[in-house]
Amino acid sequence: MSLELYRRSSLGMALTDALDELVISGVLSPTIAMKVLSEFDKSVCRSLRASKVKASVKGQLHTYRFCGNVWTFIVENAIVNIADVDVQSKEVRVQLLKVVACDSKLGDVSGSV
Amino acid sequence: MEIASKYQEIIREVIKNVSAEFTAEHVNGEVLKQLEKSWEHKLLQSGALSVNSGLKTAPIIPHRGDACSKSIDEDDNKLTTGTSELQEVGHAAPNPKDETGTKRKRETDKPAVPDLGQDEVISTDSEDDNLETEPVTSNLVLSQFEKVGRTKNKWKCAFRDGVMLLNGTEYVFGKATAEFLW
Repeated sequence: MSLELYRRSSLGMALTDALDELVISGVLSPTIAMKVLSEFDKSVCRSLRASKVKASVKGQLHTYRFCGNVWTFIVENAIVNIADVDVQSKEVRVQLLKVVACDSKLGDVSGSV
Repeated sequence: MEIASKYQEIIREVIKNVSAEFTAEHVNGEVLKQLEKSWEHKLLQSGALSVNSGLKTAPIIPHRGDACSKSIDEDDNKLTTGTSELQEVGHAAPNPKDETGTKRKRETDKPAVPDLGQDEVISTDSEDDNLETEPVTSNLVLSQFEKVGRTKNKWKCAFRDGVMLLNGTEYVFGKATAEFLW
């Protein structure tokens, strides 16, 4: 069992949509579609774990919540700094930012990494 | 690594890893190819990989689903096939999410973020937000927390393994720190 969180990324949404179409048109069973998604969960976790990029986020906290072992933060006027190895770091400012974070221990227990 | 090539890698890996499953379930091999193509297409359509961020250096390689378990490198000579479509789509308007009736209702009942001329916006809200009045934004960080601490009004967090969608562009990180003021 692996984190399903990343299905909400653009990559995950694109996959979910693609699978939905195939399931709706009847060429793919929902069961196998679910298997593809869980394979996606594993791959994306592995890939992120290997990422060398470092980021920092600063901002004004609008909302915080800890529920079901998931932290949710709504941040106002957030400044996000993204620093990749040997690439100049990049700063992105957003008025509102939602941060959803699962417990990293869950990711470990999954054995997917 | 460029996010485009990173995502490309994930797509390849997933397709490769499910190909045995597809065969076992007697799903036509064409379906897997179709899935891969449609996945890539929708990803590009989302506009999350900014146009200038490596589409040329990391074009989508049209490899054949069934054979891909063998070697991806063999397909390098087919590079050009995918490139033209890629660039075409890459320049298309960002975020035209098509309505495919997703089961999870991520994108319903939301006051759309001001985003002219589009019915839908990549909604970033979990199911339970419908019950609350919380500002809606499409800027989203998905990650895992290692530490979350607070001293008075200062929050400090350590995150890892994150995907961020900021102003329509997606980024990934291995580690992140956050400082929030309440």
